[in-house]
Amino acid sequence: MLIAKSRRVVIFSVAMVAALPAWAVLPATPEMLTLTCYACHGTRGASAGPLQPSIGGQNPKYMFDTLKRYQSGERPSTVMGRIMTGYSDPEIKVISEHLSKQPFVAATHQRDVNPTKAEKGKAIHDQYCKKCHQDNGRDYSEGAGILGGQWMGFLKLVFEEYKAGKRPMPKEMLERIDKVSDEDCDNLAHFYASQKH
Amino acid sequence: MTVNRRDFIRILGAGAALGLSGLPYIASANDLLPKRNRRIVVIGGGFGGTIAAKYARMADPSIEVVLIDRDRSHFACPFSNLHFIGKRDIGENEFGYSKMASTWGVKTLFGEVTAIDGATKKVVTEDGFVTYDRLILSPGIDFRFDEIEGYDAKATPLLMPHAWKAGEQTRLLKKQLDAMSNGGTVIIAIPLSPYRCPPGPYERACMIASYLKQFKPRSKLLVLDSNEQIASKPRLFSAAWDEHYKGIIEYRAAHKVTKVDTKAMSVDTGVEEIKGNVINVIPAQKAGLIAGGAGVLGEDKKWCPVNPITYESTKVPGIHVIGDAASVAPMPKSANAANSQGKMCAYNVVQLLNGKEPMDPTTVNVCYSYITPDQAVTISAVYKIGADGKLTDNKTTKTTANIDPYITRLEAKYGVGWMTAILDEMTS
Repeated sequence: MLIAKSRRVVIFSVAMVAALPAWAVLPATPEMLTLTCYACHGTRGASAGPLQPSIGGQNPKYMFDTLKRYQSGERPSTVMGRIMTGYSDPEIKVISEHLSKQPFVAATHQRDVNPTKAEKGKAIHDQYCKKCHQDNGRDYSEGAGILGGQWMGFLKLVFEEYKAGKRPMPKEMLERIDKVSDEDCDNLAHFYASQKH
Repeated sequence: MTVNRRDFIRILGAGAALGLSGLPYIASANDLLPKRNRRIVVIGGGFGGTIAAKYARMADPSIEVVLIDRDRSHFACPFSNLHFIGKRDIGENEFGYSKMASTWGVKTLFGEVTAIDGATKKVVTEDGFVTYDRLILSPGIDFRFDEIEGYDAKATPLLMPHAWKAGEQTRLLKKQLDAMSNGGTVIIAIPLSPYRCPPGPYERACMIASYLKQFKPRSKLLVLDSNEQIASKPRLFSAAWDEHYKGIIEYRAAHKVTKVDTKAMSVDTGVEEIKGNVINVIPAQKAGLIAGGAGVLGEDKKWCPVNPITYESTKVPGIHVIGDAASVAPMPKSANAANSQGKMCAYNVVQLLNGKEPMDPTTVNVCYSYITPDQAVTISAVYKIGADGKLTDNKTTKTTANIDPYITRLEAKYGVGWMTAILDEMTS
């Protein structure tokens, strides 16, 4: 009975689908276009970690520039650069703006923060980093993403990449990071990971 | 909420009691959740259905969403191959649905769906029925057991586990590997494409070979592939086997297992009968059984053709199909694809229920495959609707460039991040 019923429907629906290109398909809303990011970067860009940064609440200009750098390969990556080749500049702009309107959610499971290391990290931050990464790395600007409250795993990996020369950075930062030892980079990771929002 | 919480629990309780007593349901007598509002019913709480339910609520919280699954928890398949080398216990892949209700207001119903009537928009379960305005079907896969001579749907998987639905089957295959003596032969039989997780069988070959190399180095792994060549990332898997598993893996393309003998512990390719100590037969696949009952299978009687914008079945209006069961080439049957489809489908189902035209979807796929316990390769793509109305990857399908240790170790680290995130998205 069930099959007989649906068979009559088939003809109708095939006709409908054939006519589909004539339908007006609306452009995706910014929210819909951004949803695919959440599989790796968390619902509304609040990362569940441990290696992906939270992308909600970041400066839209910073985000646009960063995504474009992934797309061009200027910032080396694994899947990020490949995925960005699927998006146009207007789409990247829409995504960046939509993400900037989401709250930045600090990583919730920072049990591995060592307070002594975080304190040492603060001294390094004050000496070398705070000019651009203001408010203990919690502030955002067009030139810098939010560091304070990111996952420890992410922060450590980023520092490793900077130190190994695998991640490009502004000249000003290059000069400074050269003076920071590996151990102090680790301390910095603890400091930024310890930041609450 | 249209149903007060206590009533809902009472209804659920009554349904469960009825199910336990083994009484046959009386379909018309038991409306499990009388519909007083616009409603989306989602069947299947895997990577597609769970996400579709959550994001339909995000898109429009005024629409009621009911998620139905036969089980109260589910084992995710990605990363299940890491269980064989003890890198990740399959127990870590289990997830439930409590946050779907508490965070997103999704109503959950647990029970076997026995029928779907697209004409009256009714889903029948073993306990009664629920009605819908639009149905999202995410039933995953079932196996075409009947294509293998001597294969008994119940008994054979207990002796020759497929481990292609994660959980007990994964544990069983691992136990068999652990029990095998050094010098034994393991056989993996790979079905014809398309099947769930294209790189999965080859990743499994890597993980089992890695286990043998470490613990049972005199053993062999024979890979019998129904396909003409390695069905996913062939260059990378071949390179990984040469680099890491020479003398352990023997790969034979175009060798389809057509017959099994669980007493002799052998498989037959039609050319020769081959004995093994541990035999992992992955049967050919089709859409989850309930898709057949809903009348949404295509001409091939295996998979469900859909409109790639709305995922609405081309066979039965009002029923949308996502995930492994849907035919949405060139998208693969993967967890990330199901996740992406669930979101796009949810938003467009909500559009349709609000009397609006559907929106232009963008979907993404990323698949991580481990080639050693701490090295992985990926394939990724972004899909859009082309000018011809068909789904296209616009040549964005790309893989890890090569098996260079620096990059594959980095991929392996990010793989753990991907798994953590995609599970969290379904449970938060």
